[in-house]
Amino acid sequence: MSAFKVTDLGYRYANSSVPALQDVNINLDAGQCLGLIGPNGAGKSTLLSILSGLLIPTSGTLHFGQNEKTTLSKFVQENVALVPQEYAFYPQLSVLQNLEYFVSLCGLTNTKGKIKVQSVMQQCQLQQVSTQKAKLLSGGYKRRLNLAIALLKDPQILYLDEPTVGVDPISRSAILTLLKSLKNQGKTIVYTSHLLTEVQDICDQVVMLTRGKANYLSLNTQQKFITITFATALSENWTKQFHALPIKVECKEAKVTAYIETSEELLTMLALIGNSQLPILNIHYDQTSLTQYYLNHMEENDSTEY
Amino acid sequence: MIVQSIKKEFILVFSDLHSVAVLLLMPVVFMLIMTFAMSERQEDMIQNLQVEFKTNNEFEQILFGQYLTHFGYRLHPEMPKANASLVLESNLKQQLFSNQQHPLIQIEYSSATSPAIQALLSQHIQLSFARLKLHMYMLDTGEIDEGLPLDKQMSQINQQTDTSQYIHVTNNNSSLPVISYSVPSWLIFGIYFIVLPISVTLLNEVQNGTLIRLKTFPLNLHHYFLVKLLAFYLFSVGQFLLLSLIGWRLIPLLIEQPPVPYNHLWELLSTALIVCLAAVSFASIIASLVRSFEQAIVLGGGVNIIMAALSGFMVPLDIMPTTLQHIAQFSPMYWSAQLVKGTMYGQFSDDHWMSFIYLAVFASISLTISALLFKRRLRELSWN
Repeated sequence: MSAFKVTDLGYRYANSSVPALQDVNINLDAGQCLGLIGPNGAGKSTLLSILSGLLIPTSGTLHFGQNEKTTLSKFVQENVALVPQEYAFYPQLSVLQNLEYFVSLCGLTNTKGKIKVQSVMQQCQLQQVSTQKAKLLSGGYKRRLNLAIALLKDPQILYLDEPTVGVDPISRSAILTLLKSLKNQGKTIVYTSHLLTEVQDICDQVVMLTRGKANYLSLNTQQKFITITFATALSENWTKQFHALPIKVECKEAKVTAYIETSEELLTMLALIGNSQLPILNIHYDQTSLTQYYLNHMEENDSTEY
Repeated sequence: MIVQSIKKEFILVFSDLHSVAVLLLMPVVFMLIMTFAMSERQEDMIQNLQVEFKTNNEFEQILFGQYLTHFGYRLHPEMPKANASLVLESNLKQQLFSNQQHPLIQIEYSSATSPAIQALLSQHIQLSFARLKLHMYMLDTGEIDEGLPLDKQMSQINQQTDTSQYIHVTNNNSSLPVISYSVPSWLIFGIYFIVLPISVTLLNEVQNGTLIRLKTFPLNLHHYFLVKLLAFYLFSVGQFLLLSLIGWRLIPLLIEQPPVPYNHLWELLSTALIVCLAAVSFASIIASLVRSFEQAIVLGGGVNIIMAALSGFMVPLDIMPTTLQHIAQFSPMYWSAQLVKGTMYGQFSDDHWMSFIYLAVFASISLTISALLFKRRLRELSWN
């Protein structure tokens, strides 16, 4: 079942000649996690603002799996929760006071509200700091509180904007584990982060935005590659021979990288290396990471503009 | 939700020492300073003045000096840093009775001498000249015995010119004037500073993403804004009652005056309710308008200070030019102070009821404007 579907979505800010978003298409199923990556100013915030009902798209459509009669803002109020990158709570209030205040806005009865606060505190492991003022918490606990407030609504869809920035590895791991468990409970997550290993770890789909345009990455079809580092730089003759292979090869000084799709391609590559009898320093066989994809893509699109 | 919101705003205000200082400490300090400053008696002010008096020891000149000393002035023949320097003409007797009108005294004031003191000294110089002229005349006509000691002669003249028996002051609040001026003014000044905590808490909510987060909660944000104002309104009423308690009961004791009786509790409460409503409504406009803490301080604080000056809080209205007095009639701070004064005296005249109505209308208009500004503010919200 689709959690939301974005079709040919576009947005242009007033007084701007360049669109902030252009022809973005996303179809995210319930219980899936969408990673939203891209350099600063690429359009991620604009897309999140549209998904939150804060901006109205100038073209295209946005459809949540909602009843036709429900308005977008009402659907967002009932089913969507945001976790902004900033600490969107009251630092002078204690953890418990913050949660009690925000739960009072959810329209629950007193008793249900108290139960909800306790359950969310347990879920986010905040019990031991419940009486501490939020401003005195460590970065990790602040992030957990930021997330806990969003969970008070029991949302079906959760938008998280860099929820692990400035967090120690233990808290980061706790947050990621919590997000995976939320996903397993059927919650849909839109996750924005510059930490691409995290995105790769928890997301099912990744959309990379560059200058308002979307590039869609399937994390299941990552390309395998082999990199051989020779003891000396390759001669022109050997470079030609590597490029003559029926596979994609990149040669740079003493390093050769070949992108492999089949086992035959790998054997062909290894046969040539064996015949060459060139001294080898290192062989690395792996699959492309999101980070590599990101960097390659930015190189192709002239990253100096960002 | 309402209780939690009120609790939250109270914690936020009380945990911010700057807000507490601006809302409670500042008005009390102002009340104290201004009450002390205004409670100084005229005789004390005169005694503190340094007046240089240059003569060539002619009898009339000495006599003029004596009459001036009678008001309490201390005259010095040489005084480099005097508040005023007086130089009398020679042959004063002939010149007093001549038909030619030309100045008999040169007065030079130092830049530190206030216009009010200058006016007072000028008035006393004129009176001293009048008494000197009468003294000379009565000596000539023999109505004063030339053989009498000088102080007895002066005593006769002073008796002849004393007009105080013709004046009867009917003001039965003789212990109130100083407090009734300084306390209401600075109490209102403090109340209107509620603009700062309202603006700061709202700005924080906008800047740290709380308002965006709240937009996705199942609540109407206008309702949320109204509840926020309600919390500050309750705080403001508490602030009013506390400041009036300090102003009515404590400050009079410090200047050795009897405390103002709390005989008009209902009037006090109704005044508190309407004054605080106007102050919070006005503050809500500024809070919805400003985009940074700097703007909040400059606009919120600046407007309050200008309004206080125009309302006669810093300089009494009755010594201001007529134009400024007219402008004051349009200031909500002025209407508020008028109401508080009426409450202190227990005299609610038609003017006071008009102030009540003005404040109610002002509050309604302000709330409407702030609702529109807040709506625009919500439209501008976007994910950073």
